Amino acid sequence: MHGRLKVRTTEEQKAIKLKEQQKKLDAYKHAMERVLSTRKKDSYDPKSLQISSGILQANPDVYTIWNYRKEVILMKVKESNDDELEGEEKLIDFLEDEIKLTEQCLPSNPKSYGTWHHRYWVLLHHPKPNWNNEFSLCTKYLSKDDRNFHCWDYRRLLVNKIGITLDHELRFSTERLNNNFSNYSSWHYRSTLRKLDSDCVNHELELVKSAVFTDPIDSSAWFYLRWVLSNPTIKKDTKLELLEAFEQLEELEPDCKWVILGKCWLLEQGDLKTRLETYKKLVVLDPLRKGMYMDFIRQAQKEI
Amino acid sequence: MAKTYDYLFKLLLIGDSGVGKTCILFRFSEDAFNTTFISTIGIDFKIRTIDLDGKKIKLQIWDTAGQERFRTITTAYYRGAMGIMLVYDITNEKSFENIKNWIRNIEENASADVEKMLLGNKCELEEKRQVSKERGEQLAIEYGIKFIETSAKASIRVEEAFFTLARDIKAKMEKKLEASNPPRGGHQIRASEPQKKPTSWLSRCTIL
Amino acid sequence: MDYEFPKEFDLIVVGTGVVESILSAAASRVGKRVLQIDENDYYGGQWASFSLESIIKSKHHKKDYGGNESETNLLRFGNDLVSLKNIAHKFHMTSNNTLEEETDKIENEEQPKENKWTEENLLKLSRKFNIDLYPKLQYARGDFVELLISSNIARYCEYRSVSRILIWFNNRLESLPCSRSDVFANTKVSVVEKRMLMKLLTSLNDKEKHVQNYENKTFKEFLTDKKLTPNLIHYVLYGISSSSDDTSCEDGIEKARRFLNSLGRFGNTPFLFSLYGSGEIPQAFCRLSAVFGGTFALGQQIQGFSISDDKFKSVTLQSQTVEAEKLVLNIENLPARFIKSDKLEYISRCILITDRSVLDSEKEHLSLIFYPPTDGKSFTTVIEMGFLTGTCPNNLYLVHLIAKQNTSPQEDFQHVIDKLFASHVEETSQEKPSILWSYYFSMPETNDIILSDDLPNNIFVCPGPEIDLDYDTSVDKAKLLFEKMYPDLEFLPRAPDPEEIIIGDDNEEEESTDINEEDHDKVINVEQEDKENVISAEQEDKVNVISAEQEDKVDQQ
Repeated sequence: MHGRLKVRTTEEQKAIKLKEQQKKLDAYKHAMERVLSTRKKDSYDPKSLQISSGILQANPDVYTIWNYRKEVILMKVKESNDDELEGEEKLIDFLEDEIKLTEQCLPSNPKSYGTWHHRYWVLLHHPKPNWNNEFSLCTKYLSKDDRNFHCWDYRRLLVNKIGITLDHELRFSTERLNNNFSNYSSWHYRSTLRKLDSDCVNHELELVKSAVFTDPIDSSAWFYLRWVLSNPTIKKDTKLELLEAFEQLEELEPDCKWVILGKCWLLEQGDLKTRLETYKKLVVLDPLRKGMYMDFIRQAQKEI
Repeated sequence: MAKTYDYLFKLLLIGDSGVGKTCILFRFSEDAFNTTFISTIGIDFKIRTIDLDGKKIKLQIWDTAGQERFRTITTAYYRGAMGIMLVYDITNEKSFENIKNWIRNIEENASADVEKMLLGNKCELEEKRQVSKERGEQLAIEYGIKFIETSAKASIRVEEAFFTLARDIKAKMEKKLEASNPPRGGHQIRASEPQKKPTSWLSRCTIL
Repeated sequence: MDYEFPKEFDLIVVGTGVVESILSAAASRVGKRVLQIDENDYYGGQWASFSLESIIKSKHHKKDYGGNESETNLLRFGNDLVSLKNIAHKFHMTSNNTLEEETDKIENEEQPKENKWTEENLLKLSRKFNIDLYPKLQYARGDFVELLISSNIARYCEYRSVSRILIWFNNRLESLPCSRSDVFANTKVSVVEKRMLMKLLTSLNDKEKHVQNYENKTFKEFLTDKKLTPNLIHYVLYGISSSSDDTSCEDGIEKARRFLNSLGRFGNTPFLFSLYGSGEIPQAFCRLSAVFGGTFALGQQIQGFSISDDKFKSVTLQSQTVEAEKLVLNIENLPARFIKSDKLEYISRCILITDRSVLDSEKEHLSLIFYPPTDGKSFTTVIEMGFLTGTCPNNLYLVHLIAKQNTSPQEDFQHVIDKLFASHVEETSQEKPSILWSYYFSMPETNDIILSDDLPNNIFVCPGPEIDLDYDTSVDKAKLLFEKMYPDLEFLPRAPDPEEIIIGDDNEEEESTDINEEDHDKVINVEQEDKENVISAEQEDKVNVISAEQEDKVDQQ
């Protein structure tokens, strides 16, 4: 026999949701009160500690609660210093749980300052921190959102903390660019890795050339190009070759201001007339920055 | 979106028509019982999140949707199942006999290490009993699985059954995790992770 | 076990392939009483997946239960036209060779190869194989995936992204540059070519106006006129739009757009593949049908069906006759007299078990490979899948080859197999994979079969798999048929989530349990509102795509 399916209407659903939200809000307020009221200098209430982890999982941006936990951790550190036999082991267990907590908080807001900072802070107090593991955490969250600047910052902290081979970071940087080169952070990170010498500067040029040809409208690659071009070890021939390539690109993309701007960078010491013509093109193509281009023109004209 | 659970377990209910699978499901997920349930229209699966040793376990419990009637349960039904409740009716001899067929079915289609449990349902109908408790226990021992007699109607031991099954799955899983030696403090979250942000093929990063 | 069916249904569906299962689900969903049966004891018919042992054993043709037709007045289901042909399979290793090689190697103190595969140990792993008769991929933004999401059927399956696309070019396998990152990282094309390719791809994605001057021209001519280099034409024509030299411009552009449109949603290729094989898909629709009251029976000894007054009346099973208003059946099951076409086109198929990937890499890939037409041979599509797709045991690969048939499956694929695989008889080259087992057959193309005019108008015929890579044509066909069957009813509205359903109280039992159209509309309308709220940007969450890192997702059998 065929039955009937009854489904809640959106009105009913909204009402239910509202009730649930209100319940959650009450629970949250209650929890906060409880935790803050038991906050003391030399001792802590285990129940409050437990409740605070619930608060953070719901809202990882409450700095106060992270700080509360830091206070508890400092107490634990002191305890472990006093306990010669098992102190370290107990502390490690405690801190590992703390690290797990930060991991549980990340998914709800991967860009929470509080969470990332707390994690790093805990590791600083950890007797045997596993820094290598942190790299994979960084990479994991970067893969989920490659514009999460927290990951980049965290990575810099790690690199500074444990030191790592240039090779390793270069490989990482290349991987990220291959994945998606439209990313200021990725290019910027790459530029901080090393000073370019005559050996590698050509390689970098080829890399960024590939990017600007693939997608000339993407500005992040052009910024990197400008930085590379500022390097004194680039030979004049290389610059001329690049200029020719950009002429080809201009034919394909006559309306792209970046290509023309790129030519300007390469023409800096070049033929004045050509430079002036190029700046004038830019004024037309990119009226938003007319002032800047007019400035270039004035400067160039002074040379006459 | 805040994550509300630590683990997600997919559980299945299996057994002949009429043994009370859907009632067990409802008793556990809604604490409700309905004598007039003629069919299970629209009942796909039910969710209930429980607390086990400080971890939140989301139990996703699937119903057969009537496909057990002519032995037409899809192989897809078994995929990813971590625990299976085999249910028979203590007042129906045939449903008990068929348990061994269901076990064979499970062996053919489900994962080799799926947790199983035998439930003898309708235990409140003592006067109509056809399958003794001892026989149920015996069968369970034969297959090396746990056995509980339950009553969805009278709300007897249904909670216990699911909690036990969930606990066994959790224990097995944690042992496996330890064995594969993840670094302490590594990514222990097994529940479904937040998805990667979808992009269109030309998303760009721009500074004005 | 209960063998008695109710005597009457609104709809009987004979067959459990994809199209008829979609219809079964759609009909149940709007309250029709559906009986879906199959003479096979498995789901899927020509769309099914098999273990190694069962695909070898299966004869893939109609069984015959009926008596003499004239005696029983019943029309028998099935015809000889629409069935798999030229089935041939072979294990490629011989145990003798193995033994000798082993002994030699031990004498020479070499390490024997770790997994020396024999027919026996391969068959032992039979259950770990899920071999599709016809593997399908799903466009991430195609009609099929949208249907899975909108109907909420997506939650019955899990998916993996196709992780790389390769194309045969310059006598080797190359990565197909299809996304911006691929183009950037590609070392085989010049920077100018990169720009030209990106420019073309962007324009294809955006504008409609291309086709204006190319109505009667081919896509290849269009690309040549755009001044693309031969490299780029090869990638775009054979790869991104998987076309041939004679594909029309309009079709080529449409196919390319479809490809590009689906990039980036779930991964960096446009395609998804259902975990455990394509046989899961018809089962997912059957489940939805069952959830909404559909009755299912497999392994049925179907005697035949009856027609009266030019209308379908009833189906006769082993022990009883069941009546229904409408009949849906898979074209495999249609009696020959209703088929007008006498000649069919075929699809050549080949399935291989191999011991390594065609292109080794650090991690295991689910690869889609395009082998362009050459020397009179058709365009060949190859799908290579490994353990992580849940279709074969660890350290082995399942390779599917698909092409429009020219002469025979063996002849149609010989050139591809020669290039990509090592013959087992030769010394095993370290680079090419060895073939351990092969299975060839021809599958009829049923999408355009002409049916006779005297087919009763309450019988609806569903095609089998067609040569397209994805399901979108099948979904279209199902929608068309549904529209004919139930013109005013909605096609697969979203099924409610468990939290939304209200369980009836005891008081409700007085209410009539007869369903009339009004009630259906009420239920449907309510859900329309839900639809707006729920189909939001989080749609991606609805499709369970297993990420590449989740290696342990596959059940250990």
